[in-house]
Amino acid sequence: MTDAAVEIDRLSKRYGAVRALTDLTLRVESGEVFGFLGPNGAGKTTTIRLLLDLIRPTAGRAELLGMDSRRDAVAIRRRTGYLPSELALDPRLTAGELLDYYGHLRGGIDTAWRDGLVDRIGLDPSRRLRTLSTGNRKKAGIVQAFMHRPDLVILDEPTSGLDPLVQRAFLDLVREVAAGGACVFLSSHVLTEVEDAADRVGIIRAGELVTVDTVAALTRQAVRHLVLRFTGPVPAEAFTDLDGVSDVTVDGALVDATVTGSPDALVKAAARFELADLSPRDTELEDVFLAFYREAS
Amino acid sequence: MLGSVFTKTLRDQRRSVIGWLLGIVLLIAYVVAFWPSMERSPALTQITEELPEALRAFVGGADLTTARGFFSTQLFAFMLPVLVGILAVGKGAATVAGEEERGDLDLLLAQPVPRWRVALEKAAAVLATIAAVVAVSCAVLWTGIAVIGADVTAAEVARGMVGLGLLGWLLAAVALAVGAATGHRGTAVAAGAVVGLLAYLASTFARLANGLGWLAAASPWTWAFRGDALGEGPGASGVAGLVVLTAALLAAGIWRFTERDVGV
Repeated sequence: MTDAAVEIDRLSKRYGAVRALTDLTLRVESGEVFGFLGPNGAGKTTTIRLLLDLIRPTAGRAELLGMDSRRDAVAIRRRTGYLPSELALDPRLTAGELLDYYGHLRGGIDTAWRDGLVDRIGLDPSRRLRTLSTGNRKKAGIVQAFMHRPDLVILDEPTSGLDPLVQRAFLDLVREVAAGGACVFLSSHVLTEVEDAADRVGIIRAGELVTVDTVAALTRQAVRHLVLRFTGPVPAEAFTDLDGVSDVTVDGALVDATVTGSPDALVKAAARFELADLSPRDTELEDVFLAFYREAS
Repeated sequence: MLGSVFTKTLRDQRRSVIGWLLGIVLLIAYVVAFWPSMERSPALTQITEELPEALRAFVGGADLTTARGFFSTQLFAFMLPVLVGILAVGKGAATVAGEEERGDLDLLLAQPVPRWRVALEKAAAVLATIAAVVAVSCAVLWTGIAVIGADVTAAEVARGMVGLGLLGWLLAAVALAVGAATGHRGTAVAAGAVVGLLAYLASTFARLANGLGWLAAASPWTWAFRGDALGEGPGASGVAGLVVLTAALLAAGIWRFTERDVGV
């Protein structure tokens, strides 16, 4: 029990008849980067807000850093960083003033570390938050979540709105603090945004945890759409009954296939013809879910 | 100004407060400048004597021929309480509920400050702002009265201003408490406005109707000003009533705020 940064036990939240979260049980270790994945409205934000004691559970409980999420909320928040998904910051303040304010409320922070973060993320602290783009406001949110060297960082959709360069700097930071022993709990609705950083991924759908596994294991079960373009027309028979391949449509030189797990059989079948292009269509998280539905049914 | 929730909240209010203060100062200056010509006008005494009792009660029931009665009526019977009341209700509603609706309360409540303390510091900042506005108004009115040499004492001005400030506190507390309890700014504004309006109507009209004296006596507006603001002021019981009611409302609102889900 001692090393769990997050220990959730049958946590549930209901709004009247609406079940926002049902019996969530989950354990995340210190030093771990945990990706919390699900489509919008699946219960990710509800879970995170329950952990931070912004909303209260209908049933169940959670321990963060070994403390009760309700009773020890203030002590937990002292050692926790948080980035909300719909980040609203006081528009009248500059980014630097915002960091000063929260730094004071935390009883003072290591300003050298904070200034280092500001540089790494590329935040301009002199700009008024009102004048910043969503991506730049997000930078301010990221810095404030990490600036007091928290033992637990809870980030709700941190990468949405960030440009790729900042996204990389952010993921480096996540890996670095996790290597230093902190737990990073980050939610996203896009697998590719967290797969590089997360050790394990939990998938939540309609308020229920569907699975928890390593990223590698999940991609093995992931469903992908591949589009193959050949230099000339290909026979449809060549692409029937392939291992792990379904929903094949052959239209002249164009082949569209759905692959579950390894694309090996499809690639070998394609190798008999002259291939002009092979490209995946975006893997949406929904496709990963699809694999689970098929398993279930 | 960014060292605590209290000072940050003060800072949030400074710009709009300066605007309100300017308006209030202009009103006071206008009314004060008017008095010397009124004082010398014999027609005024006549008009006042001919005024139906209902109308006189409506403007506070004071004697318009004395400086004290004139300022009580012109400033405290309606105009100043309305200006301070709008400021109080607006700030009270904006401070917790407004920030919650805008969304930036979320991150503040994720800082290691207990929720009750965030609300309490914000409430204290709203009350301090109102106190500051009333204190400046008090200084301006007293200076004006001294300049024109009207027959009103500093103690009388202070009495009226204490009533005004405490009524402002009460209305701010209504809006802040309802906003903290519900998270809805609109509801908070409505609650403050309704309480203010009912208090005013109860204080002015109920006094006229036979058998409704208890209603006037129950109105916080009456507690704040009684017959005429500068003459009687709130008195010890009025001060106690307003302070206790303000504190009780804030305590209830903050308690509810700590118990409920935020930002849903």
